[in-house]
Amino acid sequence: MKKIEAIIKPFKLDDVKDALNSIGITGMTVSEVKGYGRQKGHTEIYRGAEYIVDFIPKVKIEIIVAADQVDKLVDTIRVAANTGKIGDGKIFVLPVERVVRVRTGEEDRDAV
Amino acid sequence: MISVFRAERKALEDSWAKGSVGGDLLLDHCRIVDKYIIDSYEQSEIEGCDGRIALVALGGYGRKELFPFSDVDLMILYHPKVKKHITKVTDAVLYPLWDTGLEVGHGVRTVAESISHAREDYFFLVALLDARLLHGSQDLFDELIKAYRKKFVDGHREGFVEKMKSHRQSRRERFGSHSFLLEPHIKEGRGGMRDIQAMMWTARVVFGLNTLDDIQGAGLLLEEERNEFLDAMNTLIRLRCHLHFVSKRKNDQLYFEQQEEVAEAFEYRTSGGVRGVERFMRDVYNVLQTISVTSDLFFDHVDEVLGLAGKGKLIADKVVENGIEIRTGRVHLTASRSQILAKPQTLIRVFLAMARTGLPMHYRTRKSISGCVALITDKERTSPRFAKSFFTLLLEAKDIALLLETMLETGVLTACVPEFSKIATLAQHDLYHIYTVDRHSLQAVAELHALVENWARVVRNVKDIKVLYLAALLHDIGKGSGRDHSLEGAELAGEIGKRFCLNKKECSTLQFLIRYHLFIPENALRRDLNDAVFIKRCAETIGDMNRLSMLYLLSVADSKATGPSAWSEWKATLMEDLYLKVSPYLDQGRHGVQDVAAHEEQGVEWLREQIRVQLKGKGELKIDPETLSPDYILSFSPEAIAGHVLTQRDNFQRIRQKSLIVASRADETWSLLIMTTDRSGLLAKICGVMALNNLSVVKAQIFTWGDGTVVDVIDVQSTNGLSFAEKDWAALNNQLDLAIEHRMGLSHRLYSKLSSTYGRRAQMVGDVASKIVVDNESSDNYSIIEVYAADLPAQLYHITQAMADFGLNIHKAYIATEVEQLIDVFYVLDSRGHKLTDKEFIKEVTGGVLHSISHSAK
Repeated sequence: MKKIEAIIKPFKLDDVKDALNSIGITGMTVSEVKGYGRQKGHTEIYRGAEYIVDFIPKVKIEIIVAADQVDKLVDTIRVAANTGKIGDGKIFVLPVERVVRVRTGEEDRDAV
Repeated sequence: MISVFRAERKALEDSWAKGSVGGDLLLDHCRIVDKYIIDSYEQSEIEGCDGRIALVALGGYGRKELFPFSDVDLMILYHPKVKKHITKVTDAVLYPLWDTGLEVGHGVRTVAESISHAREDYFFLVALLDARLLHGSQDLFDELIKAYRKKFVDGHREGFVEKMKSHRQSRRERFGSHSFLLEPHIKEGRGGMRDIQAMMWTARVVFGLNTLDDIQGAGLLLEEERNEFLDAMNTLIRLRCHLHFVSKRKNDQLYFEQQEEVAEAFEYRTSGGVRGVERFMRDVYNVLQTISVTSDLFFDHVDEVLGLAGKGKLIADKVVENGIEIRTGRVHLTASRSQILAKPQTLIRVFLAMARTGLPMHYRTRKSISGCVALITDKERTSPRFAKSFFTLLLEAKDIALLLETMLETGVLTACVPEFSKIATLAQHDLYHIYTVDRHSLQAVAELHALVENWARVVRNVKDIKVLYLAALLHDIGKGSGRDHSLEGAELAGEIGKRFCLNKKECSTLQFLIRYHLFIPENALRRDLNDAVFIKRCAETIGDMNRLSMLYLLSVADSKATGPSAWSEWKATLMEDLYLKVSPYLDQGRHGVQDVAAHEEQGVEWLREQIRVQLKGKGELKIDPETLSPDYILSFSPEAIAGHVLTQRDNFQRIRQKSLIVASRADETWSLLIMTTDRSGLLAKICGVMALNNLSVVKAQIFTWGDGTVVDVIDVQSTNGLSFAEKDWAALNNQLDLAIEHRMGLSHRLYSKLSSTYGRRAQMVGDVASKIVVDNESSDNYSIIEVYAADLPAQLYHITQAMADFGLNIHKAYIATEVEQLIDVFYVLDSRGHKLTDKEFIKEVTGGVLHSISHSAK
């Protein structure tokens, strides 16, 4: 079991969702997040007033999958979320110890 | 016994399913529970308690309004003499009751204990109001009631009402002060069961009126109002019974997931493009609204009777104008019907009084206005005076939410804008909107009010503020039509705008705003805001800064008024980003285009194209626009850049050999375009010459073209009071020529010019700590050097000279003065065109610049 966390640009969410649907991934958790990496914040100077944008809005997608699906999934997200510019985001793959479906009590593969 | 009880309850549910009446069900349910409790008690055959025990039903159970899964509030009242038997009694009564699985609220008290508990627990206090003797000693029960009345009712009316009102208030804070929430709480929410009870309790305590009929009889309600109220109450009872049965528990909130199912059970069907569930919810909201309005009126009346009205209000009684008065902190309409008939304007003027004072309207005035709204005819609606008053209401109301709410409830708003009736209490069955369309529209106006107060930066770009307000009120007017509500709304708005005497241009702005009111939220989340082509298209769609600013304000107000899921910091950032990205394309005012997405190639290409267009047919040029750097292109408007290119061509030799200064006047500062060939220390020389000529530099933008031509735009302010026309610009240009040809010593000239004043000035500004900060984080492309120093003449010369000594290239500079302190920000690169990364070098530069500052102060 692996957990995939992808931080992407907000407007790429629909593209990524569609791409994931097309490879059979239908469940995911999506949240609105803010932060920065190498893109940093930027300062917009407009009419003498400075608007400081220190945390940039992003979308975080979380998906739990079986280990053998990880590569395909990461590739799919990477291609769909890519614009080639700074701030496209990151994908993390984390190990998951156990998964339980609350309603039925099914575990691991069955619960995903 | 319990099996009989269960069977009876089951039968009750079955008869409900077959369509029994809500009120009957409550009575039947109550009867079943009564019998069960009494039987349990009788069967236990406890001895020695005769005449000293009373089983008392409290609260809703006491009122015989026992909903299917409501708490059974039971109190065992006993005489202190039978205390030793009481455990047996409670066992006999409560165990069987617990076994039923119903929720039981129980207490075991003497009369004295009951009274002291009531003093501590407000809910127990009001529960006692509905006390009903179930079984046992009548004398004991009477004793309790007598003590209760003496302690809490007789002579305590004011306190009782105040307490009731404050609980009503805190309930509204907890459960929402709107009856128009997505998931209304039909017990505790506004217009819910509790509002009915609070009214009935108060009627009983204050006036001794026990039933709705009594209340009507006393003239507190008209027959029509009573009937409406009763209908509303019965609908609520029915709804609550249903909710309990459906949820199989005490559930008093109409959850989103259940609404469709309940609507279907209540036989609501989709028709005319409006879904059954939406029509159902509209009816539910109307019911809650009826109860909420009636109980509000009732409490206003109580305040008046008890003399509580107007307490603590700061506005003295006065006659506002003929027919409109302020009394005890309420706005009154005193004009007779015939007076209103002669002058229907009065109906709007009374709201003006409300808008200006921020006071609520007296309940009787609200009633009488409701009866007169038909007097607002097309003749009124199309008069310019009416339009003017209406806009004053929208723009200037002290308490806009209260004002609009009252206008809507009295029907005046729909009389002013008949189209509004289409969206009155129209529910939107989605998780997004927590209010009905009409409330949402009012909320949007209120949000806009708050924005206008706080977002001066955006608001100052708005030229038609009244159009913006009207747009906020009407933005969803097209809802419920079955087609795209933005399009439908824009069409309707055209007519409405005309009626409100807007001119053609204002009308088209209004239509535009409504047509595009979802443009910003939709695009901010779904589009790449760094895509210059997209941003440019936005700019083209929107057209000008006025419209962009209005659209932005409208979008924020709309989102905030929609509900928590439509508004978050996260979304706010994206929407602001869109606004800021589009702004520079539309706002080519005095500063021109600045810092447009500095890393964005596409934007540059578009701007370069604009420059080409500007230069088309201007003959041969000395520089190819293709070679201009992106940074430069992004810093000025295409017009300004075309101007630079033409100036260079027309003064080519002079710029090659000497320098050229073109001065122009802006609002508070003068802008100097300085063109020459690049040489080291140029900015220092420019600053020096400015200081010699009594000009203080407030901003500098510094660029070098590929062919070595320097294009500096320096904003200056005059320090000796000479006007723009009086200034000898030719002489200034001459001095700069001499300086760059190394034939004028700036340093010693500045020293002798300023020496007479130096000492004094240095003392005057006192000890301002100098500080240098080198910042490599804030800009992707440059190192930023911030210099904090005392504001002394020629300071800038010394700083720039020191930087020149280190071979630093200054690309941009912002110079600000704050109370004797100079804050200069320089965007620099080192002599090889890189950011300053070497720690040793940064230390050296910092030391050098610091020295130059302290040096200049001596």
